[in-house]
Amino acid sequence: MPRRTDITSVLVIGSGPIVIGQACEFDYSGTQACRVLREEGIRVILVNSNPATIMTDPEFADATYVEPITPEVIEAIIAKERPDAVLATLGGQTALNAAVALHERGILEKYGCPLIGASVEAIQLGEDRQLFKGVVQRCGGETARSYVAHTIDECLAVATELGYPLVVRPSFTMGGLGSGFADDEVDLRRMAGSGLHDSPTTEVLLEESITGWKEYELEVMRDHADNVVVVCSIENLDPMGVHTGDSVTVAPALTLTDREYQGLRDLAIAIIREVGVDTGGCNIQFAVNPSDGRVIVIEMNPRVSRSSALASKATGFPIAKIAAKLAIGYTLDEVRNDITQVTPASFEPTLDYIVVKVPRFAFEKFPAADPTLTTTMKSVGEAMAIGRNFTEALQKALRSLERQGSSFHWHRGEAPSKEQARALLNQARTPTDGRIVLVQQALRGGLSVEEAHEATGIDPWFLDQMQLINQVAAHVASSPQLTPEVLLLAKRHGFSDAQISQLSGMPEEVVRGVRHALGVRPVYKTVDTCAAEFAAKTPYHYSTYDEETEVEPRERPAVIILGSGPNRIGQGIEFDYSCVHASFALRDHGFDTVMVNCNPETVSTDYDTSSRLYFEPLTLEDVLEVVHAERQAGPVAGVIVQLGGQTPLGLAQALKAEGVPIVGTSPESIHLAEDRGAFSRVLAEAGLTAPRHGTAYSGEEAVEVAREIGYPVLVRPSYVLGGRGMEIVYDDETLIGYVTRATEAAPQHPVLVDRFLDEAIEIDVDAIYDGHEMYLGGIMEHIEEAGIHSGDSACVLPPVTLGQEELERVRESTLKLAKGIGVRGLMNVQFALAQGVLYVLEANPRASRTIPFVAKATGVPLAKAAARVMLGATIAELRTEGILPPAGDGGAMPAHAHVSVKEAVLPFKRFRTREGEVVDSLLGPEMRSTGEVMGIDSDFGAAFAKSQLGFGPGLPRKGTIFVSVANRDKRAMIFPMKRLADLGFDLIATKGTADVLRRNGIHASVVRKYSEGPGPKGEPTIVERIVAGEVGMVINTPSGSHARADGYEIRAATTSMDRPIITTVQQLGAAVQGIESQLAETVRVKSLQDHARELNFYARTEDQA
Amino acid sequence: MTAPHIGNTGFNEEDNESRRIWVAGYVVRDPAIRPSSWRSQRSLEDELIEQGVVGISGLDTRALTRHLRERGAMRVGVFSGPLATMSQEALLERVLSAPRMSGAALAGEVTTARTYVVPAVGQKRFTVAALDLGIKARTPEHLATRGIEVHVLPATSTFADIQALGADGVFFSNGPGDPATAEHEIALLREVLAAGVPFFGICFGNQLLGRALGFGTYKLKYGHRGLNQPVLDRRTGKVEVTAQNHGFAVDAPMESDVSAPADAVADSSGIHTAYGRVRVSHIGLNDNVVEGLECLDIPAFSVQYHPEAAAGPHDSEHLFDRFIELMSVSTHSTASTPSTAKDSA
Repeated sequence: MPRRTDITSVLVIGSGPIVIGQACEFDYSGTQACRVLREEGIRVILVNSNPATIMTDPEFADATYVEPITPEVIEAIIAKERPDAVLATLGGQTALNAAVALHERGILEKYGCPLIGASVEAIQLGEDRQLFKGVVQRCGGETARSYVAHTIDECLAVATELGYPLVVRPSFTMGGLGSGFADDEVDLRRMAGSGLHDSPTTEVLLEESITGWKEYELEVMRDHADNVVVVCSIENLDPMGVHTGDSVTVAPALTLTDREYQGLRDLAIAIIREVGVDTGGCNIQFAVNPSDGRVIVIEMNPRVSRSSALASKATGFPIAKIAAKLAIGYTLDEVRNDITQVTPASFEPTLDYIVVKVPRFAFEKFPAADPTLTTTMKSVGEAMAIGRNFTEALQKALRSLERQGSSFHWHRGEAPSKEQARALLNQARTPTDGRIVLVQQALRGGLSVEEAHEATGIDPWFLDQMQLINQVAAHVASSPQLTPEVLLLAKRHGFSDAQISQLSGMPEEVVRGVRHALGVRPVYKTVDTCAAEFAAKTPYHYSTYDEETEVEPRERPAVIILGSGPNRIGQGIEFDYSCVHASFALRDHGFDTVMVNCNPETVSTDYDTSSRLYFEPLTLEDVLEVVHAERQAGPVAGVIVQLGGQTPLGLAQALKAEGVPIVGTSPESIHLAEDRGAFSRVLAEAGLTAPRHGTAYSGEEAVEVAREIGYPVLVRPSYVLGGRGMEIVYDDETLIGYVTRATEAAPQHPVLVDRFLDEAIEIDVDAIYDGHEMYLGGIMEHIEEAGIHSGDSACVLPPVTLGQEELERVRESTLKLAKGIGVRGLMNVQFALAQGVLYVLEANPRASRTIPFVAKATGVPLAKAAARVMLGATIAELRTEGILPPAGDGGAMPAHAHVSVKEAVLPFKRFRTREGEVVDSLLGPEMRSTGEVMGIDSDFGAAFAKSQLGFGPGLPRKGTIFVSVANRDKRAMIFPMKRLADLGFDLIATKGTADVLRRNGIHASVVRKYSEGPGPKGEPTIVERIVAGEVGMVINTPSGSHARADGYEIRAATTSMDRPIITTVQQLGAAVQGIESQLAETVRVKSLQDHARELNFYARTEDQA
Repeated sequence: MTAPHIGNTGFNEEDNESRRIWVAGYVVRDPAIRPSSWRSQRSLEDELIEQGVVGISGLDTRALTRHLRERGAMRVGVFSGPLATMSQEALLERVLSAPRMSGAALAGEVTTARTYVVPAVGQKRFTVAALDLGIKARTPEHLATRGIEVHVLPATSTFADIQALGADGVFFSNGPGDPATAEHEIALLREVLAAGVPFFGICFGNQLLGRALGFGTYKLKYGHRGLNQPVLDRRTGKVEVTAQNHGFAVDAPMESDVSAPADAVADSSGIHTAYGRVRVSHIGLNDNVVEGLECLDIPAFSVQYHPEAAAGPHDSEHLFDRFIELMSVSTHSTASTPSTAKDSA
C-alpha cells in the first residue's frame, strides 16, 4: 500500500536536551525521520529544545521550533502550523510523555492531528506496568510476580508477600530513573518514596528479583498490514540487575539455541500485536533463567529507543528511517533495503560479525556518587565495536572507551596472585564501571571460569572467551619474537599494538613497525544486513584480521574526518554535529568524505552521512590503518582532527609524525594554543593579557606559584576538555592535595595554576579564520560569573550587558589570537572581563561545544563554512557562495536581533551517594552537564524563561521561594528579592538572610535551618519543607567551605524535588527577568526559519531562501 | 556457516531433526571452546567426530560466501588426515571428480528404511502419509499436535502403500537433490493428485508438485539459504519471514493463474490429467522466485520454504492448519474410489 494521502504535514517531537538515559540516539532517529518525511514531500514541523542536534538544523524541517517541549508550547505550535498528524515515537520518553499530555488535554482532538506510529492506548499498554502485565499474560508469557503500589503502606504490604530483595520501578520514567533494588525496609521506604514522586502517575511497581538471569532484548518492527520483523537480538553480558544501558551488550544473541530464540521471537511478535503499536519499532526485554530456561518478559518500549539506534548501527537496518516510512503508510515490503538496494526491508538482518557495546561512565565528575550499577542507568555514553568474533569486538570496544584502564591489561610482573585474584573477583560481585577488567585480571590470576561465573553470573561462554584472550596473551608474552603467526593470532583476538607492546616489552611503535614489515594488516569487511548474501552498495566498514578486504577503489580525493568517540561529559553531541556538517559540506564540494567513529548513538555513524563509514576505535593504531586502507583506495586530501573534540586533536601530532596530512590548523599551531609557555608567547606578541599564572610539576612548585600570583587560584592539568580535574583553590593544603591527585590523572603533563578572577564576566567566542580574514561566528556572554565551567554556565547571544567598545576589543583580540596561533578553520576563545581588563582565559583551535548553538542563534552554518576553510576556501569565497552572509557577522548582530539563551542541563538527580542522597548540585570549574537547551525570544527575560522550561519544570509563576545567600551576596540580592515579593511570591529565608531583607523592607518569614533540626513545636526545617513540596524555587548561594552542610542538604532536597535551584547572584537576576516575562506574556513560538527571515542576515529575497 | 561463532549451545538430543547429520563437511570461523546451555549434552565438535563429519575452522567464511555469491554454488572439498597433505592439484582433481548437484538423485540415500508412525496428539482427526525424502522431525510433530496420525514412508513407497493406510492426505517432505531426477516420486504424486487426495508439500515436495503439474524446475544461481527470507503470501497479502534451504526452484508464471501444463499433454501411457488451474501462491521477495504453489481445482498446495522451521521463525506454521482445512473439506481419502476433481478452493 503506498503512503497515506491524507497526511501532508507532520509535527515531529524531539527528545530535548541530552540527559543520562536519553542521548543523541534520538537526534539520529529524529534526523532520519525528518529526512524521510521531507523526501516524501511532507511538510515537517519540528519541536526540540536541544540546539546541539542535527535535526534542529533549519535544513531538516520546514519549520523548526527550538522551543521547550511542554504541552502549552506544543499547543501553540499546533495552533499555528495545523499539522495533519503528530509523530512522537522517535523522540524518546520525552516525546512520548508529551504526546500523552497533549492527548489528555484534548489538544490532539481539538486540532484534529492524531498521533501516528503508536496510539495513546498502545503507549499506555506498553508503558503502564500493570496493563503491560496483562498484555504479556494474554500473549502466553510470564512476567515477574509483582504488585503496583501507590503509597508507602501498600509497598510494605507487598514486601511482606514477596520478600526481599525487591525491585522498585516507578511508572513512566525514562532510563529506569528511580528504580533499583531494595534489600530491606529502609531501602524500600527511601526508594519507594522518591519513586512515587518521580512517577507522573504516582505509582511504583514492586516485583520479585530475577537478578543474575540472562538478559536479552529484541528490536521489533511492525507495519500497518501487520507484517512484523525482528531486526536484531541483543544479549547482555552483564546479567539481570544492571540497566541494559549500563551493561556490556552483544549482538546477535550468542548463548541461545534456535528453539529458545524462536520462543522469544514468538512472544515479542505477539506482544507488539497485542499492545497495538500500529507502525514502527519497539524493543522488548526478556530475562531467561540460565538453569532451566524460564522466560520472563521485563518490559517494552512502544517507540524507537537507545537500543534501536544500537541495533540500527549493528545491523545496517535503519530502524528510525523505516519507522518513519511505516508511519506514513508504507508496508515493510514496499520499503527498499538501502544497503542491497534490490531487496525489501521485510526481512530479518543476519550478521556475520559480532557487535559489542560498552558503556562509558563519568563517576569521576561526581566523587560522592555511588558507582554501583543498578537498574537506574548511570552511564553517559557508549562505544560500539565490530569484529569477526567476540574477542576482537570486545577488545576493540574496550579500547574505544579511550580511558586509562578500560582495556584488558597484562603489565609485566603484575599478574595477580591467587589471593589477589580472589579479592578482585570479590570486588567484581558488585557490578561497577570496569568490572569486566576485574574479571579478566581474576582469570589471569588463575581463577577458573566456574569461579568467575559463580561470582558475577556472567555466562560461562563469555568468560571462556575472556580466558581465551588471557591464553593468547600468555602465548604472545612467551613467544621469543613477533612472527606473523603470533601477530595474526593476537590480532584475530583484538589485541592492539599497545597491548602487544605490554606483552612483548617492545615499544608500541616498534610493534607496529614489525607488524607492517611482516605485512600483518587488517582487512575491512562490510556491514551489509545479509551476511554477504547480496552485494552491499553502502561502504560501511569495520576492520578485522581476515583474508579478504572489501574497500573499493575511488577517484575523488578523500577527506577523513575523525569523530569524537563515546559521549562523555564535556565531549558530546556538539562535536558530532560539527563532524556531520563538515561531511555534508565537503561531500557537496568534490570530496569523498570518510568518517571514523565508534559511537553508535550519533548521526555521524549513520551510513548515509559520509561517502564511507569506518566504525573503528579512535586510537592512533586504528586511525593509521584506516588512512592506509584509504590511501590504497585512492587519493587522500587529508585528515580533519579539529571537529571531534579532544579525542582527534590528541592524535594530531602523532598522525603528522607518521606522514598523515592534517588539514586545517596545523599540529604545530595546535601546540601553540595548548602549550602554556608557547601560548604565553603568542599572547605577549599580540599584546594580550592573561590572568597571572604558572606551571608546576609538584605540590611544592604549585604552592610557590600560587603564593606569587595570589589566591584564589584555578588549577587544572594541561590538555583537558570539559574542565576535567579543574578546581578553584583557596589555600596551600588543598593545593598540594590537588596536585597529588591531578598528576596521577595525566602523568606526562604538568599542572597549570592560574590566578582566579573574582567577579568577572566570562565571554565565549567562536570564530573562523582563513589566514587572511576572520568571520566572527558569535560572542556569548555568560550568565554565571567566571569560575563556573563554560559548559555548565548559561550564556546569551548577542551579549546583553556588553558595550560596543568591549565587543570591539573582543573582536580585535580574537583576530590577533587567530593570526598568532595560525588558525585555519575554527577557533573558540574564552575571555574574562574584570575591572575593565579583558583577559584571555584560553583559546582552542578546534570546534567548540557552542558551535551548534551559535549556528542556530545566528542562522549561519558555521561548521560547514569551517570545513570548507580547512580545505582551502576563503571567507570571501564563502560569502560570495552564500554559505556565509555577504557582509557582517555574528559578532555584530543587528539591534533588532532576537536573543538566544543556552542553558546547561545537569544530571545531579541521577546520582546518589551510597546513603541514597542525591549528590550536590553546586556548579564549579569542572564541567558536569550532559546537555543543553536553547531559549529564543525577542528579549532576554523571555528567552531565559524558555531556556528554563526546556528541561525540568521551569520557573515558578506563584508560590513560595526560599532564599539563603552567602554574606558577600547579600547586597546584590536585595533588588531581585524585592521584585519577587512585588510579583506576589511568598519569601522564606534563614534568619541572617531574613534579617537583611527585613531591614530593606522586604518581608520574609524565617524558616529553621537543617542543622537546627525541627523546632520544639515540630516546626519543620527548610529541608523538610522542600521535600514536602512547599517550595517552588530555591535561591542558595554557597558560603565558605565550612558552612556547607546546610547548603548541601538544601540543594540535594531541591534537586530531588525537581525544583529550580539558583546558586549564583547572576542566575537570580536572570531568573527574575524570566519570571517577569513569563507572568507578563502568553506563550510565543517562532520557528528558526522565521527568525532567520526577520534577521535577514543574508539579505535574501523570500524565494531564494 | 556465515555466523562466526558456532557450537555455543552445544548439542542436545531434543532438537534433533534427523537420525544423523547429513552435511558432508562443516566450515566455521570460530568454534566454541565449550558449550554453554542448560540443555547441552555434549559439544558440537564431539558430535561431528562421533558422526564422522569433517570440519574446518578459522576460515574467512565471509570471503567464501562472497566467492560463492559471485560464482554460484559449486562443489567443494574439505580434507583432513593424510589426504590433506596431497598436492593442491590432486585435491582439486578429487573435488572435480565428485558428482554435480544437477542431476543428482539423493532422496533414496536419506529416506527412512521402513515406515514408522508418529501418533496423533490427543484426539486423532486424520491419517496422513508422509513421504520421507529427507524429512525433518519437526514436520510430523507439527502434524501430530494437530491430531494427525503420521505414517512416514520410504521414498520408494507406491500409491498402493498409501491407499493401504487409508490416508486422508499425503505429504511430501523436503530433501536433497535435483527434482528432475525424482521420476518415481513425481509419478506417485500424479496418482495422488488424480485421486483428489489432499496434498501438501514442503521444499523438495514443492518442486515435485511443480513438476507433477507440468512446470519445469531449474537450479538457482544463488540458492536461498538462511532463516531470514521474506516471502509474500499472496492469499493474505502478508509477508512472512521464513527459513529456506534450496538450490532449485519451480519455473511457473506469477502474473496470473494458469492451467496446469500437464493437462495439455498426454503422459507416456496416453492418459490426460485434469489438474485444472494453478496459482503461484508465494513469492520470495528478495529475488521474485516461486516459493509456493496452489491448485485451485484440486486440493493440493506446497511451499518451497520451511514452515516447520527448526531452525527458523514460526511465521508460517499456520500452513499446517491450512492442510487440515483441506482435509476437512475434502470428501476424498485414499480409502474411497477416485473420482473427478472437485473445486476445493
